[in-house]
Amino acid sequence: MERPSYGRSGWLGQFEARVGETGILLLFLVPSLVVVGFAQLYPLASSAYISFFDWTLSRSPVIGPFVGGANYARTFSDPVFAGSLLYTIAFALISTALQLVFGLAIALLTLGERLTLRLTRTLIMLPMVIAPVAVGTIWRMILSGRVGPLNRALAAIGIDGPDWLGNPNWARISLILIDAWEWTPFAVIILTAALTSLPSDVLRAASVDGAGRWKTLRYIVLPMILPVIMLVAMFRLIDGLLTLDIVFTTTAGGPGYATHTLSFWIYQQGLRYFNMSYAAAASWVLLLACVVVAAVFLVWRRRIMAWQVATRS
Amino acid sequence: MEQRPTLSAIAEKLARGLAVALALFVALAPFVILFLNSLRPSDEFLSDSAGLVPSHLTFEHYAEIFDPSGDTLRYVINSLIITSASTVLAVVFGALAAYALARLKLPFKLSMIIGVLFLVIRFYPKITVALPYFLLMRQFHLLDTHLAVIIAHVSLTVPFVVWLLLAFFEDFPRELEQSAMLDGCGPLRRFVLIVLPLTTPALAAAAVLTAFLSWNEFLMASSVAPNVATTLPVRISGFITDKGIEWGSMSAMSSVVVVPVALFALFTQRYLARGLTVGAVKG
Amino acid sequence: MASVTLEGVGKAFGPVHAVNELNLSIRDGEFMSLLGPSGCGKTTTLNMIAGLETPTSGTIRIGDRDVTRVPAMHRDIAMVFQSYALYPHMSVARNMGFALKIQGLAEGEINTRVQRAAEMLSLTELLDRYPRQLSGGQRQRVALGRALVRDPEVFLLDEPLSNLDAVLRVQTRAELSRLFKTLGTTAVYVTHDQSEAMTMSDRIAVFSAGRLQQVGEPLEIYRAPVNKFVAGFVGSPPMTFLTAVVTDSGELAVGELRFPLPAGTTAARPGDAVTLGLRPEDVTLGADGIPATADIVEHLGSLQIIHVNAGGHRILSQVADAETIRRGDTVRLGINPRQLYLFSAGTGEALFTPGSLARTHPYTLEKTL
Repeated sequence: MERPSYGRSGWLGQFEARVGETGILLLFLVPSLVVVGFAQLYPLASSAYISFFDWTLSRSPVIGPFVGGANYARTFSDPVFAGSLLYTIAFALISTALQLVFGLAIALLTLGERLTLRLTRTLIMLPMVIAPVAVGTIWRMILSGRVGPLNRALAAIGIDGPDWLGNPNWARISLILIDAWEWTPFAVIILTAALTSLPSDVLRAASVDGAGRWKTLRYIVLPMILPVIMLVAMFRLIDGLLTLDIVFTTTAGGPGYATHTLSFWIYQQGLRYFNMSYAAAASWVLLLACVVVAAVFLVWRRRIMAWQVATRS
Repeated sequence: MEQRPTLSAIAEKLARGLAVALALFVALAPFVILFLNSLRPSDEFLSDSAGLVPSHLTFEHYAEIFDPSGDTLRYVINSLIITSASTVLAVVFGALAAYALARLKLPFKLSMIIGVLFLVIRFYPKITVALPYFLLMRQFHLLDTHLAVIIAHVSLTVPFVVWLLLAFFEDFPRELEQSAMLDGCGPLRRFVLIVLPLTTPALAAAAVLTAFLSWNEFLMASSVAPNVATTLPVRISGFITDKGIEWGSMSAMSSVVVVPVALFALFTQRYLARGLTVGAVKG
Repeated sequence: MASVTLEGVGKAFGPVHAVNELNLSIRDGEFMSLLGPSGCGKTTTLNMIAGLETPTSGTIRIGDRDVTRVPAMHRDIAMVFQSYALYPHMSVARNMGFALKIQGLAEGEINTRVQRAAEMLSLTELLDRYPRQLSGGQRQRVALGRALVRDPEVFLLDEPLSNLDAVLRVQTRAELSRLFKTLGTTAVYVTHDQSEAMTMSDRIAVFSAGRLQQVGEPLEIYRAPVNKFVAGFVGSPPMTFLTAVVTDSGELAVGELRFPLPAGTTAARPGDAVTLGLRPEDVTLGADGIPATADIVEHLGSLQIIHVNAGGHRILSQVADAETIRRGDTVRLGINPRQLYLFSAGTGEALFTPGSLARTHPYTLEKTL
């Protein structure tokens, strides 16, 4: 009994038979590749291309003449760019450090499977899941110089609160604190997972050896979760360098240029003043900076993990 | 160690509890303030004498948002449309791609390239892409349409979906698929009839993650949809350029952005945590 | 129903050759077991017949069709997996009807076939249940039913009984045997359990380390194994092997012991080193013979297995339950020269087996396996 048409029933069967298993699987990839290619990769390439020309959209609807690296050179001599760069770096570093410190502290404090602890962890997660723009809005309201609840609360105990968002230096600090508030939960979640996955026999061995809790923490726990800490640090550092949303809704980069982050400044250049080429060049500088940071971290982390494996055996 | 709790142990427990309470307060107080403000009558915002709690609660700001004849309901609807469409498309596209990647025996180099590609997509400044994307949409006459934002959101979230689902599909029991193969199923039917129904938790996690990202997204939406198709996050940011900030409206609108997400997060916390920690802890 | 022919089939995974140079013809309607220890290539062979693996060399034909490059979904083969592979999200009825639905059969036809198969396997009450609600034995029957319903050209079974407990296994073995006799469909059955292969098959193909050792009817494999491996693998309790040298006087010398050399053995000459094989049921305990001390006595109910020590060599003997032998007893081993197995000490190839006499001396297998 010959049944060569097995598995080829209907138009779907015929199609699958004609194209073959590998063919169909490749087709599965197409929609994703098309969307990502169209909306991410092509614009990326296009952005690189534009950065070598001179183009201001408001002046001309088509791309201008070729200028090589002029736009890039301009970024190095632009004081606002430099100021934004400096602030962005400080912002990312300090906020990340705060997130790690508070994140670890909260993770340790809420470690455990009791219902109250799990509930606490869930609630602590809230600042992270809401829209960054909303975060900005909320804090703008709280930190508002006169009517804001924070200053009023401070006033009630006799402290004259500063103009959190109006004073350039305080504004810079405020943004960093707001960012730390928003993203500490990220560190909490990941560090909690790392802490709970620690092999319990190592910890027990430590306590048998007579190590107190602080010592255990410092000499055993921290080194073991170092790779995870580095991963969190990398994520948050890079995201910090890219911060845009909260700047928009708290200070709009102000007062003046005080709280301009790089992304925000690029946004203004590109979508406000339509200096497409200049903005493109600057954004590629930022991109390369992020790539460097990521590369450094990943290499460093791999070294640490290799060292861990070596010392463990 | 059977001892009566020492004084230092009690003090420590107390300190611990206080620290946790403080953390919770810092985390949650702003939300409380937001909600209270969204229910506060407009004139109270400017007066110095108003207390923390509004003198009386009013729903006027919410009414304004959801007023069908008004302006702002549009933003809610836009956000809903865009988030729903983006989630559906991202999960479908991403699941298909993840399955293909899991089943195609790619040469090692190629799968490494794809891995690096995902990493790159996660970490580059979206602003680099936003500008040319704006130009691209302009070229296709898609500026200020839902489609423009949907395409952008899908392209941003698909890599996450693939990353999340890849491990699940790779671990899917081979014998079930082999059985389906012998039953005459090609890849598509295997995928739809056998694999998908049995991986619904992972798909749900992917959908939740995508919905969050899309609902909260600001940059792409504001780049390509400044008016007609504007989403809630964009509208909220628009308040600062207005003269005389309408704190009440802004609070209410922020609450609309925040509340669904917060509630959702509380219920799906497990999925979120899993989505975030995939790959992070395994290292 | 169709025959399955493998010519020169090989499968390599990188540098590892799972299957080498396989030539095997499975006749239409035959129940063929692929027998061997784990890692011998029998499951890989089955997967190649199914189309789940593609051979790296050689051709596979089903009936007249060359299916070597045809993917599994286009071969008309049903397979029962070791782990049953039932679809967890479908009821028993839907599991059984799935393949038919994919083929585009009408719903009425599907129901009829599912009902018929369910009756054959006593599954009718379970049709609406889900796999997680079933016991191991029930799941196994559903897996069988799923294959039955297909009415395929060839049945493939991958160690379907290995997940069942011992009692159920023996019971199911008999039922399976009867079922396939009734159906008459070509079946290829993979197992590592030689008693399954012996009781159920029309022919057995014995594999070792990726190579086919021998193909033949069960009795042939048992009495005329082609090499030491086959002889040692088939038969329970296993054959005893002793290193021996052929003496000038025409005997087999195992250390101090002397064993008779079968008459008419031309392959073994004085001075040759050989391996002597003795099946326990061929080693009798009697009044005279080779002296030995009983070491361990295993009672199996209807018979006993005695481990004896003869001159420092351990030999197994199988005797009836009636004999009372105790540890330490002196016994005498009776060896029938016609029931010896001789293998080349170097290659393991069989030099003499009782089966080579089988054609002139027909006999029946006395013990139940």
